[in-house]
Amino acid sequence: MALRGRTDLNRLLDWIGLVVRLGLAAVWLASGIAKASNSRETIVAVRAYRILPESAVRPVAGVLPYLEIALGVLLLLGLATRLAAVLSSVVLAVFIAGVISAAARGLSIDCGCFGGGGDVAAGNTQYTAEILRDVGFLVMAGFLIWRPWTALSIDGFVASRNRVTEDEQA
Amino acid sequence: MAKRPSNNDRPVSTAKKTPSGSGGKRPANSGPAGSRATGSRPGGAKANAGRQSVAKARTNSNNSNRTQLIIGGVAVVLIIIVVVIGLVINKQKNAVQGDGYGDAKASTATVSNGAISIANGDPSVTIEVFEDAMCPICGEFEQQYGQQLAQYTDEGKVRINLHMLNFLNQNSASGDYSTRAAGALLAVATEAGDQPGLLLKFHSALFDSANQPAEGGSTDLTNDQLADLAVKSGAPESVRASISSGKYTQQAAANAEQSMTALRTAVGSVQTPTVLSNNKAVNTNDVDWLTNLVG
Repeated sequence: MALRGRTDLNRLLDWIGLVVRLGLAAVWLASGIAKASNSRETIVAVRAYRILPESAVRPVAGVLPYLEIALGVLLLLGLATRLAAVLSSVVLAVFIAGVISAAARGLSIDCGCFGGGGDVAAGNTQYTAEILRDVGFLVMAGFLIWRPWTALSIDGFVASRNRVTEDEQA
Repeated sequence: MAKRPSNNDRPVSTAKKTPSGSGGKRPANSGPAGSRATGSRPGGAKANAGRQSVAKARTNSNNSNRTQLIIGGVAVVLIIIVVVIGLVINKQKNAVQGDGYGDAKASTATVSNGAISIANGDPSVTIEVFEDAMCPICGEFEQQYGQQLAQYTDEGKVRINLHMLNFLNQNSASGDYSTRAAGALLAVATEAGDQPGLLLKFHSALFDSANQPAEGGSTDLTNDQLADLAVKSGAPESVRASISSGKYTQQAAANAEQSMTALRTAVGSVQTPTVLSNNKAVNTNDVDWLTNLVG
């Protein structure tokens, strides 16, 4: 009975993990595609943080959207979920640090998290909301690092296939 | 009667199935956890005596580790492929159009209907360009398409109706930079618009990253500095006083209001840069937008 309860819990966690994984995938794909489809805006958004030297602004603005899309695809497929979750949390931590830094330096910018971005009028900043939202995403990534095995994932499919092969050998 | 035994069978078979089914799923799914997977494998638990089981466990563990490496490797390769494709796309999308053409040489400017109309001759294609002197994306836009716009207007392929807005005044250090810069352009267009290439050259200078003030910055250009920039772009000295005194600033503000109303009517919101063709917004994220329009 005890074992059975544990199994049910695990199964439930598998499905919760699936929801978290697809949720985070949606976040990355939405923000990545928004940034990629308006590259001029992304350049301005990255520059507005005034952290990177001008020579690094364009390369970062060029790579970032597609890195986000790649992470979104990995999470959508459930391929190397833990690796994708670790990279996600690193990128999110950088974003959070960037927004905190902008707030601390008294800049008035939009985080450009889902496209848009750049300077905004003083008093129109939403740093707290932006940071809280990113922390929420970070918690989702943390869940997947702690427990990367989720329902309907390539990871799970490969692992179960492996197990079947080993059983056949035995 | 015949059904009963089968009814009895069902619970038994279910009872058997559930543990093996779900028990098998857990270790399978725990694959990504690496070493954790081996520990909970039923194979290892079953044969917990004898050397063979140890060897088998090791093989399983090796298999699992190898699988993890392969999955990780595939993931990394996938990330690299996506990023490289992205960089290639980006390079095309951000490529400077008409690169090497330089400043405008032949087009002239007149003021009509609250806009500055720039053309050479009477082209069949007209575009309405809405910009704000403070808008950084307009700066990026100018950098990417400025030379191509200069070339096509010089060649008589397109007429640009330039609408300088001022909704970003609030982001400038002086609080009215957008309007004053629009006034400077209006001064040049009104008093020296017939000088070939001048208006677009001054316009490019205003959006050059060396001159354009930063949003939320601590300084912007004074009227005197705007006048200097105009003269440096080739404007006659006679225009200097008009810009320095802000002679056209009020008219520029009125024009901006008129243009913002027109823009709002056409596309529902005020955003810059916006290009309208036949009163419809042009997708300027498509790098070929101007070539496509001019045909």
